[in-house]
Amino acid sequence: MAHDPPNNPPISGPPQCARCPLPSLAVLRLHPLCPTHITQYIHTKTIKRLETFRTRYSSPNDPPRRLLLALSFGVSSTSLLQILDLHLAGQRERVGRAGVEVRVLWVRGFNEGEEGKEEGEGQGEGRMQRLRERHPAHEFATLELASVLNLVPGLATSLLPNPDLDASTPTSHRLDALLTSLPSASSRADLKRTLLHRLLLHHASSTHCSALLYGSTTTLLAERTLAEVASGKGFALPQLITDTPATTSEGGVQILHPLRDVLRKEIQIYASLVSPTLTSFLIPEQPVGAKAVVNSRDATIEGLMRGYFEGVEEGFPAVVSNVVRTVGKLQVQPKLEREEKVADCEVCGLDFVQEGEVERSRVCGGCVRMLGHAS
Amino acid sequence: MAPRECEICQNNRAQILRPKNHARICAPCFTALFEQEVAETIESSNLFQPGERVAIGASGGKDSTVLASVLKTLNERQKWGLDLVLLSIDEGITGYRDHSLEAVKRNAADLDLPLKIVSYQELYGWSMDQVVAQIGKKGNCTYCGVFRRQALDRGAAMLGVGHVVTGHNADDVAETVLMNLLRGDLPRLSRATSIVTSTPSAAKAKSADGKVTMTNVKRSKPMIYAYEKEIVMYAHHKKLDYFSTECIYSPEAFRGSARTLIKNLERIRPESILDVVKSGMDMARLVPQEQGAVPEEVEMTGRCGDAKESGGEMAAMERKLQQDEVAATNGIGVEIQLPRSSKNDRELGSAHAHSRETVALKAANDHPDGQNHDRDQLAPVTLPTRTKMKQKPAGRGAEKRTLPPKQKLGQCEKCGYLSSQAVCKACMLLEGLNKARPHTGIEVG
Ligand SMILES: [Zn+2]
Ligand SMILES: [Zn+2]
Ligand SMILES: [Zn+2]
Ligand SMILES: [Zn+2]
Repeated sequence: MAHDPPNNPPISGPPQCARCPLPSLAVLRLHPLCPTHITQYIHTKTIKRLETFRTRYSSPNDPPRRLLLALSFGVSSTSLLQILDLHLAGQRERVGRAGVEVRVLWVRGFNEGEEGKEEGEGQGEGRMQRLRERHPAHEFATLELASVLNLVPGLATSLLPNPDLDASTPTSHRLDALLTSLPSASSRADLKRTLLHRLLLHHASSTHCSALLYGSTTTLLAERTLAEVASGKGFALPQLITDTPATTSEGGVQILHPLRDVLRKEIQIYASLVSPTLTSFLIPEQPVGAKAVVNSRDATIEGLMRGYFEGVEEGFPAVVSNVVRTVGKLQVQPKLEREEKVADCEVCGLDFVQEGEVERSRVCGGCVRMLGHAS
Repeated sequence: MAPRECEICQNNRAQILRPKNHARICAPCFTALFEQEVAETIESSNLFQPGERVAIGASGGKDSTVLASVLKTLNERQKWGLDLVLLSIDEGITGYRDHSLEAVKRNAADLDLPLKIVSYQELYGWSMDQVVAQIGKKGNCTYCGVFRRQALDRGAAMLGVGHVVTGHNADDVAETVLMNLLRGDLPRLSRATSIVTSTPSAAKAKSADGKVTMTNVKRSKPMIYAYEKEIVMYAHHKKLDYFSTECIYSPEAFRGSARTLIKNLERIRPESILDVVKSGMDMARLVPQEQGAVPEEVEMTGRCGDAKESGGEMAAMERKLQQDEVAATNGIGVEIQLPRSSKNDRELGSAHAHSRETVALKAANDHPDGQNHDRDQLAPVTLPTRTKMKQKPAGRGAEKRTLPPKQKLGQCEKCGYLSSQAVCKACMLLEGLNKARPHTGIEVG
């Protein structure tokens, strides 16, 4: 290193970092950056989204506020944990205390089982154990996705009552039966995500967490925006995509996406720089190409959008951000006409406008379609 | 697969699988149902007044051909008493319209409806062929698009007709919803999902006795819930005569991209098309007031070209967004922007981009550390110079959507067409064209 003076860079080598004389590793938003400054850039972008939880807004006598981090063992949520961990450690060093306390929740039965390949029980537990050792400052918990059927009131009754499966049937069997009854792979993926969200929110609120943190990147949020639109849930985009403002969630749980200003490829670069490496914790991702095959029976809208935005992110990253920013301009709720009122859907829990005398009007239009009961 | 009987009449053999609900039905039941559904859209949104004079925008393509046939049938069956007329625009593109206009003429004869053909030449003094001869193939799509958006309204005004119906189908609308999400254009997204376009387009017309009158032209889309596939099936089973080709001029990248997505969505889950339309209508209700109005007829009517993934438009947008991002990262970006005067507004294309480039260069050494920027607080990225109109949001519940009673919109001082600027886009483009070839302005009527 010492004999490689930075002011004399090799002609064909990478351009110099925009912040320091070191050679850059990658170009982020037009700026070539070195590893240190990539890391700093990602940290700043992420922590900035958590402004309301800064220590300066809390008094040292308040108990630290709790944040529930939804961990999927994907690159994004695992990196988010890493970022928060470093940030809080730094805070403790500087201020002597951390303003928040992070709880990590992994839900079993959500991202396994795709393509029929169930990740071995032990493997998930093993990851969890190793991650706990890596981040001893935080509490870790595991829940079963199926448990949501018993935990969230109303779900069991609105989701399909198969007379053969009463409350004595194990929830995992009930969930399997429910998933099998759905009309398409897209519906199954939608229902699982819906149930996951409800379980996470339920857990956040019952463990007195102020916020639920997702690892969703800009790219994922853009994909979800278009996927939700294609599933008839355009009415709920602000609830699904936009961060909950602190003021409207008094007593409730704020839903935040701290990586919302970070592209997927940026968090991947970040993750590759983390040391010791994150690789052993991550559930390997399926190649997008396989997901994007449109004609297969297993094709999902989610997979289609994933493939689509992979291309857009590559060539037009600002267009990806713009989709998410555009959703941010929508109001949460429409002005209501006389005979309309807002209710929360028994299945997804989202606010929707009840339009007159629809059968099953306790369930929003998007969920009705997902469940395949549309006539 | 074993032959099944029609789910509706339980008699004929099912020939058709409906994409939107998987129903297997026979051809006669299908055509009856198709007509009935268009009738429901029309009646539930009170689209027509009894005895109203309605122009059907007829291109000779499948959508408008089916629309004309269905409206003719329904008008008689439902006793709406409408005075229907076919209105065709001749862009003056050799080899493109000739055949489709023949199809329109045959339709007019078959349906026994009056036909009025209005040419760009009559409306603007320029045919598209002449425009291309003048400016070349590059960029002529702008002209075609701007001229076309106004042509139906101007043509209708010439005929003294206050209502134009167009053949937009569910696929078109779904495509426009996704396209405008990608472009970040909420006003256009709202507008695309309105069955009745909430902003009436005014056009100045000279009647036979030489009197100039303003006509408010209302636009509507009776087939907004009809699948393109079903329109093709309807045309097939009714043996309708249509011409299939699309404009030979440049594609729009965002639309092409959105169209591919819609086609893929349809393959994965056919119901998605209607779900996108429904989502778009619901989102229109969430568009804040100041974002909700589109002052000009800027909705994409008709499409220009079977878009290939040229990416040019997306690349341009990407550059602009990145520059905005850089400008926003630096407080200075805001100050460096050109002062806003109507003169500059008119040249926003070049001047604006130029100022942004300057900013980008200056900012190149700045670190994107997110310290002092909050892009979300800044002005919307689309057409920053467009005047925001204070009015009701374009998007209300679609079924209940009717025209707001009064609206104060600016009018083009040259032609009287609704415009947010002193001079409308068509007149601006014409000004440029006419500079090179001395010519009069728009001579309507
Ligand atoms: Zn550096
Ligand atoms: Zn729902
Ligand atoms: Zn039948
Ligand atoms: Zn004008």
